[in-house]
Amino acid sequence: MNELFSFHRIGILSQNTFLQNWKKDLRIFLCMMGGMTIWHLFRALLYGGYAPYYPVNFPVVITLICLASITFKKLANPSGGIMYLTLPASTFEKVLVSVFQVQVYYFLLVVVAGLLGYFFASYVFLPLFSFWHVDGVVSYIDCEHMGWLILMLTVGISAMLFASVYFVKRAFLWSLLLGIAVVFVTLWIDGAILSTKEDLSNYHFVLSHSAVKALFIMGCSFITLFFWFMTWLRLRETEV
Amino acid sequence: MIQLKNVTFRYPRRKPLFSDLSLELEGNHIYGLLGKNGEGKTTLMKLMSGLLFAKEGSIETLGEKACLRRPKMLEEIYFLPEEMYVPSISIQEFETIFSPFYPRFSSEQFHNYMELFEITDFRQNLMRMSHGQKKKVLIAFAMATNCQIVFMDEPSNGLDIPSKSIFRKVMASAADEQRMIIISTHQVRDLHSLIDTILILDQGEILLNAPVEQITEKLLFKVVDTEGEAQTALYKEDTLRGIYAVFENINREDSKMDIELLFNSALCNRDKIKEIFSLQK
Repeated sequence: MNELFSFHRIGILSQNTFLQNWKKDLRIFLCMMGGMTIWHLFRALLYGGYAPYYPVNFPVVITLICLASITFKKLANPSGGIMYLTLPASTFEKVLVSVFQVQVYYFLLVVVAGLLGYFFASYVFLPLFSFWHVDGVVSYIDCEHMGWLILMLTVGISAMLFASVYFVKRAFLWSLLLGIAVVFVTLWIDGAILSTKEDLSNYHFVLSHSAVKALFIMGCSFITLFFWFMTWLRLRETEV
Repeated sequence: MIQLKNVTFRYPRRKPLFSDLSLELEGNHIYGLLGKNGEGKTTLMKLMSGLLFAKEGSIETLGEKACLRRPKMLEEIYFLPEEMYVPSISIQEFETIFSPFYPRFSSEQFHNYMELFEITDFRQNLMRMSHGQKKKVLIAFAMATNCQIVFMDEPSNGLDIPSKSIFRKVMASAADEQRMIIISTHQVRDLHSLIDTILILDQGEILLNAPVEQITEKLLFKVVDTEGEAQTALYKEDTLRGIYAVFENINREDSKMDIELLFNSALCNRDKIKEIFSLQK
């Protein structure tokens, strides 16, 4: 038997995670959809009827960050921790399933809920107010802009995932503080070291736009992998 | 099956709970783990199952380092804590999503045990059940996994009187050559007929580790009428029938072990008990 990785164990662990949480996930989906309907209505009113659609927007980011920060909440309860840690799966498999749950499954769940909210707002509620002009659904999405957002969100979620296993008690609060710290460090690195301006007097590294983009992608990937690795390490060392 | 070698453990900012503890446990036994409050019974079981890590020494469970928590080991152990966690799902769903982790899980056995415990509606939500009912479900599940090692922390707490009898029946039927069951309990009277090996933990060490046959061979439990007769007793208690006492069994008389009496006599005569059972270092 492969002690580190087994497709069979990944399958039953995923089934276990999904079936334990499906009712909660459904509630999240419905609340998100309702919330996003109201959000898009509000934006439409604010922008005079023009409300371009962004799949990754502020409510989506906040929801995903919150969900990531409570991924390992079960470890805060000794008996819950006992049940989870003694589940016959390797730590690597448990982290892999958690990463998939938060970074893929919840991402899709929340974005789809947001999209449906936009549909309801644009085609069900706004037409009731016939004097409002409705912008086409998904008429324009800045893919590059969206790509950067998703990349940064991936980093943020991976940091929150680590925080949820490191700060078992008051996970959300400490996760939020860690997330803010990660954002500040990223901005500092960007402002203090990297620059596309040819201003040598400020001893910046002068880089082309492509180089900055490549560095940014590499940096985000590295930070994400780092936090996933730290999550694995921390879970391996967790006692209950 | 379980080997502890020179294990030292302490919780943060507290004095060591165990220092240089060595212990070997074998299959085909139902161990009763006894000790005063705070002696470390639950801690010891958590160390053996890899939920806590020894600061020094080594712990091997089923040939694997317990602290690594490898799937191969975890498939063969089940830990039933005193305070249980149950997800908000039905009994049927619980069986569906947790049983695949245990290769030898028997659905038939699980249903049989549940029937013995008089729980037949599998659509009930676990969270909405009483403490005792949850316990019955988890006991039935633990025994149906057919794991080689089952740790139980106060399993009879919360069970009604008829259920305690059913619990003994379930445990007796589940015991076999391949299996070890370790029960940490204060409710010794509930389980006295079940336990075949006594482990007493006191002041961070194993004060006694002996099968019941050996205990009744080396100690005599009897009721005497006068204080004079009880003078050589290791421990005595006044009862309505007389003075219930524990003596060193010099004449190799037969008697029935009383676990509570044994426990109290062990705590009151640590060195003598160690000498009798040859645990002196």
